[in-house]
Amino acid sequence: MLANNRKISDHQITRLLFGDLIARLMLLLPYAKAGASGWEFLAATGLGILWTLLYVRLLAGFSGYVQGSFTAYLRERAGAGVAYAVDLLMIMFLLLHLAYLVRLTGTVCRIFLLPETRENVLLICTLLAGTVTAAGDGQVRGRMAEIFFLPVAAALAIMLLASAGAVKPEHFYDSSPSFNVMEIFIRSGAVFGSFCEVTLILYDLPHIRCRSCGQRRALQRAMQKGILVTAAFLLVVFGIALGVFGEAGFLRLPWPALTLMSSASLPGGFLQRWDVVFLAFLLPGLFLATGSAFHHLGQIWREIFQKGSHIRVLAGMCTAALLLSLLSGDYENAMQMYFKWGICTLVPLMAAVPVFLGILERMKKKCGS
Amino acid sequence: MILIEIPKAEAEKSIRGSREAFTEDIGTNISLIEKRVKDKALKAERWTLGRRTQTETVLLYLEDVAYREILDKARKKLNLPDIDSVMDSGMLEQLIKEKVWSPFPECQTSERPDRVSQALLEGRAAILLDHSPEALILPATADTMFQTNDDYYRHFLVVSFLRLIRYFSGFLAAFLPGLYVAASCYHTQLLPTNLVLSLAEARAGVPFPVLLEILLMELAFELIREAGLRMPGAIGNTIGIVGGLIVGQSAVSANLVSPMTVVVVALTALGSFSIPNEEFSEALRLIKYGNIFLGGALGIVGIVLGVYFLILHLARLQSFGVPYLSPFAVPEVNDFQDLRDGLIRWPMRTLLRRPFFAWHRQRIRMRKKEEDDARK
Repeated sequence: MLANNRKISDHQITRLLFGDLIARLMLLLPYAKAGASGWEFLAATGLGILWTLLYVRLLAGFSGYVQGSFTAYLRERAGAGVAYAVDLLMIMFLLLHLAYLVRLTGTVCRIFLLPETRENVLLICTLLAGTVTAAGDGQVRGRMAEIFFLPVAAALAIMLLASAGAVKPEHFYDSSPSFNVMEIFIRSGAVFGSFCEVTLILYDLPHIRCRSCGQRRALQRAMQKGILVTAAFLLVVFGIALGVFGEAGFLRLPWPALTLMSSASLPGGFLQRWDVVFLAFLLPGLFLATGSAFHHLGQIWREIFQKGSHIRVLAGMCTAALLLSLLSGDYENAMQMYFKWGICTLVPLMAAVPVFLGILERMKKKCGS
Repeated sequence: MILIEIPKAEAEKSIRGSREAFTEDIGTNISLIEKRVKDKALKAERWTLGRRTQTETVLLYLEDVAYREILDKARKKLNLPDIDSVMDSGMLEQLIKEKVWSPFPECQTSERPDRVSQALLEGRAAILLDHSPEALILPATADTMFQTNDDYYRHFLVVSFLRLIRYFSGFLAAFLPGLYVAASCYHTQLLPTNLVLSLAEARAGVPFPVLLEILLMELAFELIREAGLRMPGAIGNTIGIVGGLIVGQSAVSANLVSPMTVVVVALTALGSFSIPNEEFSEALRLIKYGNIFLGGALGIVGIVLGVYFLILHLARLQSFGVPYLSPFAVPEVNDFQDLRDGLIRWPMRTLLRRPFFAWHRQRIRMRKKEEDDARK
């Protein structure tokens, strides 16, 4: 029927990727700049995005071999043990991802919006928003992403324009022009790792219905579009921040995008703190990302165990994520944990699965023909 | 022959277009629609609802344009459980509602035959009940709740501007008091110093915290509204004026509330009155109270949560299988054509397609002249 097909379209995938990635990456990526020069960081971000686009191409190509659910495909091709291991890997990554996301939202809200409120209250609110989002099916997330895309993108664009006026061109020339290729290469890996949650699209494959051209091509286009739009915003934000604060300031700030907005001024400016408004527009992105993580957690859990009511599974996952984020203690620890175990350890494994299987499928096809 | 006087539309006034409204006689109401849609494809399926009342009910639709699955859903829902009476379309609306806990209407109500005729031509269906001067139009979406019939009778630029105003008024109706509470309790640094100082000065001597102050004023306003509604015409208007002017002014003079609170409550009320659909406006009025508490507890984070949960709720809602947030949430369904008649309305000549409620083989509403010549 018109509404109840439980499918998401390619158009919605583009919006979903933007919604899931923009806020988190705008606040997370600056972590990859530690020890690098401003230009090195920008170059690494650009290169990381390029890796991601190539990876998405591989991922979309591989998706053509997956009929039905990804876990069922893994069971059929590699056996139940491998399927179980891959699903567990994804669950571990998603829990770390959630703990980080929740801590990030809580900390940013406390510092910039509600300094007198306890951070744990904000953690619980974020978890609640994520859980309630995931309680609906995938198409609800798709619709939400469609609705939030335009206001969030428009607000970001307006605020970037407003803050671009403060750019001092000499800051670009002051920045150390040295390019350490190895350094850029390593950091681009971290950037790629931050984008790598796109792998989880494999679990959504049975619920995707592309309207234009072939399924595989349309999926690739939709994902690449989503990543490119996000990437364009990220590069412009970091570029402007570098131009406004200079290299020394840019490298010292934990969230340059938010600090940048506090210095934004709109003509006839009435409001004094644009960072509050900016963060208010970013928050739905963080809630959507939390919802997506819960959605995938619930989905993978049900794929493995084939039992447990949706609400109970979500409640369990919510408790686990809350405990993990509480155990991490503060934002700094949560981020290091996410970076060390999530992005540097689990993400390469996650990314390797479709690449390896895709190569195997290709070889098999060639041998067969 | 009995001549029935056709009343003028009272609840859905328009600047241009027909002034006619439905009567309480179902036969006359069907004639009012037939007068406008002279098409053999116009079908009327009759039902009798209510064991004791035997209320005559008619499901109207254009046979070749309406989406069959929507009609099937409507038929299924009209097969009500054994109920003794169905007195009005409002009662039927609640009986066929899918998400009973949602305050948002799943059908659009209209007292105007031209509105219903327009809906039928868009591929929607209408339910008429005997003794009820309002028709139920189905399916309904959030977007249709912000549209009026004279949106199609006036220049597209004016209409687009008015639609933006109506959406903004919807935002005011649901979130303005919450935002005010959030800004004055948590985010005073957002506002210019002069404004903060004058706000503080205006609030000096007010014994209540902002949250309670706004709640009291909102409740007082609801009282005035309810009293005005229940009173006969002239007295009702007087109560509105007395309540609005005298009580508001006295409350400010007695230092019970600050002038800013009165301004906020008045703007919120104006916002809710600007929404064309009363049921939708009532739902927003209801969630306003939740947002006041969220704003009071979590400041701007609470308001963002309120917006997020509202969109989430609306994203889950559907009316007879149609997503409630269409066309914005599913723009690609009708090749993005429905966005031409959404937040803004494009020129009439470019509205070539019917909305996606219509049967997909009957989506073309207008052909360009050269296309038509080529076809011939």
